Amino acid sequence: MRYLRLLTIFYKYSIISELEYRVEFLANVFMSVFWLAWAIVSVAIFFLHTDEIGDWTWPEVLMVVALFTLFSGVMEALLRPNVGAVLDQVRDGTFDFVLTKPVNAQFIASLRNIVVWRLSDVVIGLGLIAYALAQMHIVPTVGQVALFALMLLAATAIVYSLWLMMVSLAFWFVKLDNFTELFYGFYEAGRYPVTIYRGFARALLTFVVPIAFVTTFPASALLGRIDQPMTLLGLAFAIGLFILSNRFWTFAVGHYSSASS
Amino acid sequence: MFRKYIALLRLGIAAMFEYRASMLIWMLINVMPLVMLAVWFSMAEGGPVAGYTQSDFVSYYLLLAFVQQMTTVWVIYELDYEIRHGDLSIKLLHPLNPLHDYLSTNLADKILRPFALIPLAVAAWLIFPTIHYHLTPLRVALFVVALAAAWFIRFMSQYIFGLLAFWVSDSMTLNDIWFAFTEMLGGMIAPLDLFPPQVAAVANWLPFRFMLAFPVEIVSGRLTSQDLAAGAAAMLFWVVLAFVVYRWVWRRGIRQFSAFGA
Repeated sequence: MRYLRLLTIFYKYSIISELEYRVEFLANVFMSVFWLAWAIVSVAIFFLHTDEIGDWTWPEVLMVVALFTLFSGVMEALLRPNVGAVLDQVRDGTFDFVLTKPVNAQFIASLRNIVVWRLSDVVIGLGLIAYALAQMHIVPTVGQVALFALMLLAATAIVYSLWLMMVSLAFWFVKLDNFTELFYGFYEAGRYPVTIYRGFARALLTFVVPIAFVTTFPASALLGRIDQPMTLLGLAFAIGLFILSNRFWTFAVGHYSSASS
Repeated sequence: MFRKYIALLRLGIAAMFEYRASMLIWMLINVMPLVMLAVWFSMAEGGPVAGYTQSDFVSYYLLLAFVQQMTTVWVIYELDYEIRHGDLSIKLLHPLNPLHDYLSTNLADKILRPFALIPLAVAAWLIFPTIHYHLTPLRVALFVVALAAAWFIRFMSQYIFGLLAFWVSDSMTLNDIWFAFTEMLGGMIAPLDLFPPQVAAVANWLPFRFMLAFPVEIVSGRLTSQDLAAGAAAMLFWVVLAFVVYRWVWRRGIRQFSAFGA
């Protein structure tokens, strides 16, 4: 409860400070729509030459693109601003102030900041999912929606955990300011269904850096084409990575040496 | 001028070595050509797509990845920051146009980058022994010129967007849009001849092609000599225009900047 109240306060101030820049807000929403159009046109070009890519039809691929957009929004709204803050704090020693607060440090380090306008990507992503379903004349069953929600939750946990592990690395690589960008390299590969990849690349994206569980498999769940082993594997990844990242974070904070004084 | 450049380049190369790990990461995250290759590669499994076989796609996208690496530009981030914080004033006091400063920093990166790329190129060739290019001395020479031109147009266009920071606060957003068009109409999403014919006919003359796909097209063997000549002329046009627009924006911008008294 206390944590929920804190979040409300944090986010209230984030929103207030962002409302000062209303023109930027509009420009940013415009950019979200622009990038979405870009993503749709790129898929449209593939479908000029084929009926399916990696066994996925046009509206089905749109669902993967929608999930890609949705999680870009989550990362840009919640993860990137916090990671940026932690990197700065570790570099100049102000992370002391996070540690000395009477609140869990992981909570502050990973949820303190929010860039609200970026959530527009989440809304746009959900809208595109609805559009794709309408194009297929599919009304998902309650079971499929529930499974979809579960996979979305798992995907969120996976993305969060991977980010937290990267942030933890900041305690060793203070000077390397852009290593979090590496995650985007992998994430970019989740733009289209994972079935377009062959052999090594697909295994990598499914079992090592499980981006497939962020964009492809939630879409599969809603379309009723996911099988039980994959669902269970997704949940296992979510729980396993969540615990692992929490351990790693605790271990990393133990290495924090503050600024020399 | 030549000696000044040598000095600036040495400075730039030293700076690159200082940040070598960061540089390597910026290189590694350029996976877009590979993602697009994966899509087209899977589509061409059942047979060629509009005349492109799997091995054609591999040849196209691997070279495109190389061009992408060799034309990477980030000057707007430096320029935008220095205009906003007034750091540009210091550079204005130097007896040298700041353009050369930024240009040589980027050039230093381009001198070092091939050393990191050659092992990757060898690996790619071992994995895909069927990659093939149409290599005559003339085409290779034209490729090198077109690569340099692509880098120049990219650099100058981004520099011009950076200079807009003299007037507007959203110059970065404008540059993002420009970049999005480069990826869409420059041959990243698809080789331009896979677009609908009407779109391709227009895209063939737009600057985006000459910032990315044109060098690849030269050695892909799909262009007739006539296409090549027309392309080279258009490329030259954009190179000159980029420089002219830069001169114009710079002259006005610098007046605006002094007016701020920053």
